Amino acid sequence: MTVKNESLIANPASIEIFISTIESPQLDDNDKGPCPSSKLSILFAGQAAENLPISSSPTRRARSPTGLVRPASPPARSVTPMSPVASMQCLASIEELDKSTSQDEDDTSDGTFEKRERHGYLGHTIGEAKQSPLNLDSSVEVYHCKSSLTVSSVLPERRHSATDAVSQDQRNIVIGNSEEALVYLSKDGEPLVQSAHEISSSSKTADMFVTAEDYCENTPRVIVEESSKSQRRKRLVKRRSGLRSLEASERSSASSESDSDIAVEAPREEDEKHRGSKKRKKQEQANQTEQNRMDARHVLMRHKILTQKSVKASGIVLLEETRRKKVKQLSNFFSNVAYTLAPWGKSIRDIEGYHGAGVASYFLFLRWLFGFNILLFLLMTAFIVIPMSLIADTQLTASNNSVVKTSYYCGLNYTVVEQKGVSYLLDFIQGTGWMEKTLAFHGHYVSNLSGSYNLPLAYILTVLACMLLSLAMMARYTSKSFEAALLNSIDTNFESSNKVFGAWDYGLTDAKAAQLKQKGIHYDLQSEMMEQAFMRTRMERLENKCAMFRLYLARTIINLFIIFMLGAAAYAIVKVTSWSTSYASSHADDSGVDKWLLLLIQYLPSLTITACNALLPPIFELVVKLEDYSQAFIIKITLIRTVFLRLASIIVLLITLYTEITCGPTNECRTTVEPDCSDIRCWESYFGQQFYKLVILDFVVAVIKVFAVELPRKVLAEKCTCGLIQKLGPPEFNITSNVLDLIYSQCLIWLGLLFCPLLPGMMVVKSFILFFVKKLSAMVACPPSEKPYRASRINTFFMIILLLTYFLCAVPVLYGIFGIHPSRGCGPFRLLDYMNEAIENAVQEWPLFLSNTYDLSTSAAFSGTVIILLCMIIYYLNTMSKAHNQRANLLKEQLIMEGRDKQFLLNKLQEQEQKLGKKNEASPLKKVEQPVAQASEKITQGKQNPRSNDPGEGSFSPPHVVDNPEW
Amino acid sequence: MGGSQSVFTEEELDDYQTLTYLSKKEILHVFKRFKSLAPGLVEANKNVKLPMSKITEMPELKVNPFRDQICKVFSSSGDGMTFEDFLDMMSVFSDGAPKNVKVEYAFRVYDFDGDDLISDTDLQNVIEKLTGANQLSEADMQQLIENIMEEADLDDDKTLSFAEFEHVISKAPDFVNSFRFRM
Repeated sequence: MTVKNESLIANPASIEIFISTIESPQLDDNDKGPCPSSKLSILFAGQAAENLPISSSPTRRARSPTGLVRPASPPARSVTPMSPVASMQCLASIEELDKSTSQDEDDTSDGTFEKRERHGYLGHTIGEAKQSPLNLDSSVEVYHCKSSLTVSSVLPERRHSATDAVSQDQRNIVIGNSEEALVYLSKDGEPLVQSAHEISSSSKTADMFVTAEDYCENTPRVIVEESSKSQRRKRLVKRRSGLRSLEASERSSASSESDSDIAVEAPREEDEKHRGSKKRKKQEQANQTEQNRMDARHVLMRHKILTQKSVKASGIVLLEETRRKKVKQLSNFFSNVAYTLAPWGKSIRDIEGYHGAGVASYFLFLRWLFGFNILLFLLMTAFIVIPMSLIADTQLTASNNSVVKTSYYCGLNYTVVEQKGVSYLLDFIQGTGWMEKTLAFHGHYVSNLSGSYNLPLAYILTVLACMLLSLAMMARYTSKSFEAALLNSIDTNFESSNKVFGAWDYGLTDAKAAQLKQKGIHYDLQSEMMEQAFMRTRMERLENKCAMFRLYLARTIINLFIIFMLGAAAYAIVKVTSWSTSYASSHADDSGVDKWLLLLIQYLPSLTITACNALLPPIFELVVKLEDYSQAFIIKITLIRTVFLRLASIIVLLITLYTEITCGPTNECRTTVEPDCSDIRCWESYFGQQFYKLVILDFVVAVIKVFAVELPRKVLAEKCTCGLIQKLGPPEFNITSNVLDLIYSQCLIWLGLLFCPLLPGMMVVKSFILFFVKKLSAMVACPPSEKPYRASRINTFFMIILLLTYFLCAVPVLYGIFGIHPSRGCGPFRLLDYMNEAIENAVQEWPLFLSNTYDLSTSAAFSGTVIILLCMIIYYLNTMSKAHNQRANLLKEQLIMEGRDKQFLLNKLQEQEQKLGKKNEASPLKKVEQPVAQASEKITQGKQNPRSNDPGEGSFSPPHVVDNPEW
Repeated sequence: MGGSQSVFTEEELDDYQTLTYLSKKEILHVFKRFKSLAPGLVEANKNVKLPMSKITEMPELKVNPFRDQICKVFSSSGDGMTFEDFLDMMSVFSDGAPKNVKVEYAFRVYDFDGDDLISDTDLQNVIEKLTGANQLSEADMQQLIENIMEEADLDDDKTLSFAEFEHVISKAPDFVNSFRFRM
């Protein structure tokens, strides 16, 4: 027996008992000191240990808010001096533990959360390390089992030494396992200890660490005085480990909190009245349990760090270790670089401080697009534009090869009018004239199949690579939020909680914005309440068949109206595009026509699309009010309609262009011979021009909108007091439409990439300028919105829209590559029948084996196989997800069951107490349904009342100040 | 960053980086922010413990209705914050911190009475702080609390334990977006 009784007595803090090993359960009879502690911590340091390390847990430790251990102040500590042997054993056992958990314990190499998860919380591991903890709390101590079921050991009578506890007959120990039957142990010392040991060894409790911890803390003031560095490490390690261990302890305390509530506390000051003290007590107790668990971990970790140099790692472990550190260093390096490189950090911070996370997410997206387009631009430049500019002078000449000859003459046929003066600028805006014969457009590129650089192959591969890269980047950018969104979509019955717990935007820095935010939250919560009332009244109203009929009629009419408007928009786009193309092509060489009129006509399709996008959404927002939907649904349906409009206009444009270029029979130059069709000599460049114009117009509109609409509106709203303008108010930064704008512009880039290689470059410039313009709009023109914006809810939509848009863009591009004959007279593919022939020709030159492989992999047989395989994978994943859902539901049920078990156990406990009924007759019998909180209160009171009458209580030392600032 | 570079040794920075979710640049930035709260004091001693009143001068905290709770949660001593406390806080509020870490701290922030349970009084406190000057009517407040409890309180004990809170937060995706400071 290594416990020094003097120390226990001298120690005002805690300890009631200690018990020896199972082999030799010795109880120290002398230990009857006035022990105020609530806690009995008994450590069995392995079966083999002869000298049992026994220590108590410090009962009242200030709970550091971070959940980290602060060294307790001396009087509060339960210092149990250890014999050197004992402490050695403690350390040894800890070291053993360290070894077993070395993978995740090594904090210097930053064991991550996830890693830690693998082992479960530390208690688990300890259990495996043959440590058997038994923590006999004065009344209740909760063990947390591996299966996260609760085992409670109850000592109804507290304030007795262990000896008493074990020898006295009426001490029942209830050890309950929520799944198995309750186990009543006791009456007799030995069985108690034995069984308790058995159970506690099966229940891997983290409490054991408490004792282990104390060991280390009590051993020669933790081994050495550490250098300032290791102290620092220690502190921070504690911090992070605190986080982790918190998880474990939280988990256990989560299921056991009510138990620990009852766990009656160490004596309180006698003069302190019991009524007010319940809460503090509860808190203290909870703190303590949790604290202890955490403390233990910290000590382990600290010990680990202190002795780190002496820990010998070898072989694979060492290798792994170094590798992990390297990877960590590398990722640190990259994050440093990324932080340095990412532009506009401060601007985004300012915006977030003013508007909150929603608007900031728009700017983050804009920044992401900026970087992403730089990447695309670099790729296109490096592999297409620069090689082309180097080989630009190698022109095709008339040769014997018939295809080349045709191409040569067709090329001669394909001319552009180069004008000077104003037209020069106009051509630049329209992408016609001299502009068409630059590197910006597909038509200018040549087909030098013979040269050292296979431009057609490079061209097509680069475009394909860009598309794939886009997909990968998007997947990477969105996967995290997508995951969250999917997770969220499983069930959405958490509106209120989300509104409250996710409401405050911690990034806000502006006082006015914060006030507005509070107002907004108030508005939001109130509107939710109103919404609920609205739903209730609507249900009642719709009882009436007539009202229901009226509502559905209204909805049908409005939907028809919206479809009509979409149809009208589509029709307008079709008409305008074909008219403008035919007009422009018939008047292209006509110098009599006013240049500006021509410009306008050229731009008419783009203008129509933009006008539709600008005008229709407000109409949608208006009519939706008549449909009597709930507020959340209104947002969704308006968004869906807007998106539909945007995508539809692009689809319509594409179809119109496609009919233009495939209009009528073609000649050998693959240009149309039908006089009714517009004369397009090089359809690739024509396509490119359309997107070029759309990109420019999109940009101009965005800029004009800020300077001509938002800023004046803001000024008017501030200066003017007349009714209408006041009602209109200052503009609002509409995140939804702004993000849709961005997605739309990116869509244009994807579509135009094949035909206008420099589009990403344009997008880079565009997004760069747009950032500052939008910042102006956000910071100056638009005051923070009062309506709270749910970033996540809309983000799901955005991601779906972005992916959908990508798909929509990829289809025409792929069709252009595989399905349309390239023009004979222009472009890098002029000698080929289809663009993808560039790849196939290249493959033919490969070794036979490789080319066969390629042929096989593109054959129908192979694609069929792949499709079947994909279907199987989908089926498998689908089954998996179903199983996971089921499992999630099971776990949820388990959580509920656990709560019930807890209550059941409490009631059992209560009954037990009633049976004992010694000093607490006052405690009323509790009904099963009674809430836990009440139960704990009653128990607490039941415990305390007699105590206050007990004169022996006076010998207890006063409780420690819990929130001692020194700690 | 040149000025503050010399404040920490490379070794210290390495440690901080390993032990937080921040990169070195961010750590230096955090220090700059810490210094800006009380330039004189911090320059004299970088490990100085700044009182809460100084800490709440930080723009994010100044407007935050939960600032006192946050300070309480992150202060190691209860009466002020050292740079490491501050770094700890910024690390938790950084983008790099995993969700579960954030959830844990959020739980502590919302747990006003510190009993490791979010009771209806805590909830009322949270809502009152959130809505600021305009308060919900008593009926609405009760209804709202009832709603939350209905959604989140799985074991019907009229309080939210950490597990329940974590569960409900996992269904509240706005939380991760909002529980952070921009570095």
